[in-house]
Amino acid sequence: MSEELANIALEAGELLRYAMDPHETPFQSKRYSTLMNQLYTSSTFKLVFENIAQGLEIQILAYSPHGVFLAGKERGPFAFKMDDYRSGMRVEERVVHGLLMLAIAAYCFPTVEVLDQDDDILRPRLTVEQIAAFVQGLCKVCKTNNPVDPEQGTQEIQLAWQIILGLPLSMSTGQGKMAIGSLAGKLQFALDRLADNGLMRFLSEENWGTFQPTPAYRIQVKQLAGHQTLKLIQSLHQEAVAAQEDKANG
Amino acid sequence: MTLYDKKMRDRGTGIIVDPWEKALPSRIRTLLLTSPLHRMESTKGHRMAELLKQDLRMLALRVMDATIERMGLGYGAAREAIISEIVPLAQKADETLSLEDARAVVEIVIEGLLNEGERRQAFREPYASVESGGVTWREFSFNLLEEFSPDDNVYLRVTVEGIHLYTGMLGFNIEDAQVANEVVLQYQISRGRLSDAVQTAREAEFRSIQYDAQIQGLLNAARRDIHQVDWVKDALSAIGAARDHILQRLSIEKQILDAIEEKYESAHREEIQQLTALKQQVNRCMVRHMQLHKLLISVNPDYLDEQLQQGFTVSGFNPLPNIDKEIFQPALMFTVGQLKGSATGMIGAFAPPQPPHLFSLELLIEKLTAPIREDNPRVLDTETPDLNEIETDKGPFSAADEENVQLLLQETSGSILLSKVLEFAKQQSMPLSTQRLLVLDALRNFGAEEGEAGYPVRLAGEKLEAAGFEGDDLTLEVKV
Repeated sequence: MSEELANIALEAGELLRYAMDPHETPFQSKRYSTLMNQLYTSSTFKLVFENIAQGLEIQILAYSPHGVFLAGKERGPFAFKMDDYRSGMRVEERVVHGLLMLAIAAYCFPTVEVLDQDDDILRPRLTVEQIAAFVQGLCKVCKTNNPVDPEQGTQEIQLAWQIILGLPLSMSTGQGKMAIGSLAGKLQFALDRLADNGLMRFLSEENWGTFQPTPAYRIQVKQLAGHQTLKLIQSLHQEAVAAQEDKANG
Repeated sequence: MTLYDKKMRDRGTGIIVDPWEKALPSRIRTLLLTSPLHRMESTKGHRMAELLKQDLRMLALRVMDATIERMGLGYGAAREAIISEIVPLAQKADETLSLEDARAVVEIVIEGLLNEGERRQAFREPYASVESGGVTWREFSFNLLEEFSPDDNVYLRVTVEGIHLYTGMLGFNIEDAQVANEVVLQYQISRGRLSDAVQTAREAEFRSIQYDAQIQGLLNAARRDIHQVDWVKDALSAIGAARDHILQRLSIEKQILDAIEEKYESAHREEIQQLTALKQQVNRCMVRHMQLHKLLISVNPDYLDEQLQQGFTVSGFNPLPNIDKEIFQPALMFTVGQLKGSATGMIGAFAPPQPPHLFSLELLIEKLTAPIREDNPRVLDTETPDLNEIETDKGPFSAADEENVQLLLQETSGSILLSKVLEFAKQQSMPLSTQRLLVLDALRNFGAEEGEAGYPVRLAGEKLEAAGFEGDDLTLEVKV
């Protein structure tokens, strides 16, 4: 192996390290910027970089002036694990957190046109209070359109909107913080995790927490989350239709 | 014959009059661009009483003006810079307005232009259009202002439609407007109407920024999604036309610069400043056009490559979903039992890859066998240096002041207000420095830790206004 290729592999590994740190950007780090430049100008470097990523079962979502965006492939060593988000959650808690992730994305990108804008265009500042009101509003519409017996059955057979409507809007802990058991507490937790991953910028504590989506959030939703979650919902829908057909056929 | 003459001749030289069916929709859309500003003005009464003395349309146009001006120099304007620039104007309209309220007024205008109330979606204005002999309702959607972050910093920028609205060239094609500006500019320079020419050059500069934004928008759309722009059919022909247009602009701008240089020779002293301003503005337009031309020349291979790459990515073939209507709202209608298997996928879709922690036996052993740390803070072994007193200037208080304070405190017993002691000191014609030392001594004892105070001091709950001192009065508990 030539020394030159070995150096390229070393630098490609370095770029991968930068890409995995959500708080590094080519604007802040000169080294990251130099490596990005190499990616654009050297096809060998790009090929080596992509091969390393493939070997590690990492999907490259996008190359952008804001950096390289990655996702861990399913069942790979970099795949998402629930414990990375929050450990020890009960089933309905996991479901609510999943829905709240969708709610935040739906609030930020209300239409396809908005999602499809340039990555650089910033979405509005959002507060925990605003998203909580948005989620509750939609759940109340579901309640009006689909009246069901609120006492019916176990949590497993309750509809998602019923679980969300059953949550208190806000609740304080003994230390005066927002309790995770409330809707606002769960939203705060979800937004904090997004901020930890460089997808939101924390602005202030105002209105239970004010955040602004970063360009990285748009890239994540556009390149991965939108398609992946749509696929999940579509398969759930198909399963529900198949179950109904089975029931009808006896 | 100059190039713009040729262009005008090619177009038939006269005023182009479209049939009214064709012209109407464009005129209506032009009119609709002002709707957000009128709406902001007509609903201001509901928002904040301080807005009643403000013309929000005027403030909005000034925000756009200040932003476009900064767009000429770089990416755009920092929000804070725009607020600082517009606040004095809001305060001129209402002299009673505090700085804080004036900032709030400007924030409302900026948020109105961003359409913050509708989560920054495009303004959507319905209008009737005459088509095939019938009337059809259509919707015109546009943005006026955008907040964007090209380099980790946040800027405001006016959109192409916003510049259209601001420059008052409503209904004109940008390229035509640029040609028209140049004709007027050359005419004004040749007639020596330099102050008018400076204004026209400013408009021409705004036009070049607008044209730049339009071309960048086309290229960004192509980069974003190959399915949005047909590269070979639409984009390449648009780029070809843009290159021709820019070459024409550069040629005319060169002619204008030559005309300015010529004018310098016969210019009076007061005209030289105007000519310099003109030259700078035209130069800036030229630089922008040259950069744009360079970009357009290099764009073809880069974008074809980009398109090729996008063609191989899976998401490139899928249209983007509507997260709210297609994903979130349907998800609310499933049961917890149905959703439980998808919850991890839903959360994981929003999480970048998490590097796993690698197990290292060596590190584990090292950590487990590490000596137990003592909780006591480490104390540095330092020798106390030998110190000698040096002579200094006299401090603010003399030995006499200290004696006086001792005397005053001895004269009092039990609880006494500091103000009373100060008044007594004044009556006894004690110097101001003594009174100051007394106040400082009282404050030192007030803030002293328990057991360290010479005498207890507490707040008296009254105002102190005696012997030139102001603040909270203190009660001194002087021991007998």
